[in-house]
Amino acid sequence: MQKINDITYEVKNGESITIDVVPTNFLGSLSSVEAELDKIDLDNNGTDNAPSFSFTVTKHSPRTHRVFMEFNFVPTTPPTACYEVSIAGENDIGCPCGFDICMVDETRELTIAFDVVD
Amino acid sequence: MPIGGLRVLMKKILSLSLAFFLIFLSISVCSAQEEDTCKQFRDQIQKLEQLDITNLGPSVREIYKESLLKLYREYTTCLENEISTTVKARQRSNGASAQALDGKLVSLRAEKADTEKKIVIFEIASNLKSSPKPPVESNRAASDVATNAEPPAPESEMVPASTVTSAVHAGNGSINLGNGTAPVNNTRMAVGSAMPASQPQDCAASEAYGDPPVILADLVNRAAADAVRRNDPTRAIFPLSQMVLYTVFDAASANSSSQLRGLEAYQYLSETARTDKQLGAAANSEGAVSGIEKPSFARLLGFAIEHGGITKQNDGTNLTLSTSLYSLYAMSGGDTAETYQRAGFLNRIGLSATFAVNDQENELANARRNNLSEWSGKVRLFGDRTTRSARFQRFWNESVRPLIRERLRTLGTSVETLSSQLSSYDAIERVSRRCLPDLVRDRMNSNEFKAATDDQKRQMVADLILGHLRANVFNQVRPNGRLELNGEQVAQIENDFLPRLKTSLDHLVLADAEIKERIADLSKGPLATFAYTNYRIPTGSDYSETKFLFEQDKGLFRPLKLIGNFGLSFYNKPDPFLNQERLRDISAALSFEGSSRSPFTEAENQSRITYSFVGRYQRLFENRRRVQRTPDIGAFQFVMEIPFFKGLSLPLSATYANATEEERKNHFRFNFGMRLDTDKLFELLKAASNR
Repeated sequence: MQKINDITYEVKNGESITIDVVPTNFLGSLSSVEAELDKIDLDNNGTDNAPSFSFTVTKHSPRTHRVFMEFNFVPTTPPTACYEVSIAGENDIGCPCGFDICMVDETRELTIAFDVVD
Repeated sequence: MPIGGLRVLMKKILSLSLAFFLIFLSISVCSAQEEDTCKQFRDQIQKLEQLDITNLGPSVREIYKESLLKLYREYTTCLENEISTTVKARQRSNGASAQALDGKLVSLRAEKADTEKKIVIFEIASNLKSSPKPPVESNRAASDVATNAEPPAPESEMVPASTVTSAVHAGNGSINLGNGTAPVNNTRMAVGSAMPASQPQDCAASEAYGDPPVILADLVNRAAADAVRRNDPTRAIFPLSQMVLYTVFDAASANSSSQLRGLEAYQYLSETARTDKQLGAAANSEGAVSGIEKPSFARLLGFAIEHGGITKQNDGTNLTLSTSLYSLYAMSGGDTAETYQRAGFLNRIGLSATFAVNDQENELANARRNNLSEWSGKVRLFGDRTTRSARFQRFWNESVRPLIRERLRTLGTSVETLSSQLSSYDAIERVSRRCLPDLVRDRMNSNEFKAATDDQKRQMVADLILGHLRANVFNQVRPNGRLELNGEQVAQIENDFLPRLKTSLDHLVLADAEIKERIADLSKGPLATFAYTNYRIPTGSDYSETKFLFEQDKGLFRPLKLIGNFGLSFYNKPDPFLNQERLRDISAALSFEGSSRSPFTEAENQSRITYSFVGRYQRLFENRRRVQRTPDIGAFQFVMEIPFFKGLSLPLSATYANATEEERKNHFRFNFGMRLDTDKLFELLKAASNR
């Protein structure tokens, strides 16, 4: 996997991708992340407290896999709460890869694009 | 009198009559607003819209525009209230009545969207709101749209073409702009008819997207705000797939554009109401306003994390430092959800120390042993009011998660279908993902950007993103464009993707209301804590107090909340010369607390006026058989907190007591102060910036 920017990566067919999420500073407030790969639900292989999503690249160049994600902050969440997202593939270039989405951010939905290259 | 003079006189009389009519209109609607919800506004707007003002003088036209704009705004507020009421009714209903309410909601939202568009048009026409200069192409499209137009108005009075298109899409009859031009009629424009010929993707190409759909504009504005605040150009493309999809929907057909423009922006959850916070010293300290102590403390202590483990509160009389065992535990491993779960019992224990303030300059200098007036610990015994409680998590997993996924699935399915059918879809998005952050970075490095205010910076980045989307996506959805759609694809957008998106958004609006209700319910369950406080008395004997604190909202006394305290206190070293024994006193307090809406807060601030009636009894054993003293001390108290704007509130109390611990004497005491809730202020500022 090669990083282009925080939410764009070039990957190869057959490569395994993992997206780990660590909610921080939520204290007693619920953290909740949902993810969708193209048009199918991406199941959480981790726990509610440390979600983890993974999939294998099945498309071929020049198609793109998109992971639609929504990060939720329920109304009781402290203002310093964040989700720290790390993305890993195989033989990663330009990583550690990922980003964070915090309570202070206005955008809480995003799409991570995995552009398939030869 | 010559005919010309008569005409002028008639015009003046007509103008004056209309002016009086407009003034009367706004007064009558204002007074009747609460009686007959929105119908009166609707009727009055219709009457005004039908008026022919072409023969009126400029000053009356100005009154006309201002009156109509005011009515539009008030009508929007009224519709918002009606939507909120209908959403609540929808939650309680099912079957046919639920369907009827769903239909009503759709109609109300469409009405609101239409009215908001009219407001935008008026604001731009009145130069109240800055609008980007439309390109020449767009102006031509505007003249195409206004088929009944008289000779065009001067350029300064022109409404951007895309704004006119919006009015057309609203499909709600004509709007008289009152600037001398004719009303804009409900005419359809062939989307893309005035677009330039097909060309290869040029990332730097840009064209003003004068009137983007609300759902797209909101997404772009949020991304732009994050890019500016974080000084990170990549943030501008975080929701790029959604932006591209909405732009395709907007360009696909007049019908799809109209449907998209009927959707409201997707709102995330947020909060401004918080009524269970109690800051500062214990109830019986001198600086305290209330005579009763609330059992909740976990959230206050939670803020200790933000301040490196310990939080401080200075009310001018006392400096209180607070922490929790959890915050100390989390300092090493970080406050993650997993750490919180592992901490178990530690997140039930809180500690605080209060110091007398005698150095106002350096408040932490007061935190020394000599100034220590009390320290305390609290343990939560039962009752879990957090959104991590098993009950709330179950509700979330069963009722909310599927709805969030439904919306994501709709977006995913739409993008996946289009990208698999249109060979350039992935390529266009791929290029934008790579070049748009660079364009934003260049913009952010420009001198003009650096000299701008934060709002202007956000607008600059938003305009850049929208201009990019317009040129690289919108303009490509046309015959021979790189994203040309066939009839089947347009039909799928109109009949499948957009209706599904609307349904999923509607479901989330309902879920949002239910989440808020469930969270409100969380704070109403029983909660009990045990508190230990050690009082340091410089001129007397130190003593310890143990208290059982209980709070119950959903009980017999609803709508009043019941709070009860029962405590015993003990002298550490009783002084027999002062008639002291080991057991110092027994005390009990009972409070009934209610709340009502505050008329002094902003619309988005849900803070309520809280009031409580408190009765307190204390049996102080050392006062037995002592002159001028009584062992039985009773007090009645009325406590009120009135929230104002920007997180400010006024807490006040009036207390009547038959004695103090030192003297048998009836007395009356009045306390008041000002409190600033910075969390609330933060949320309000954020909500304002979102607007």
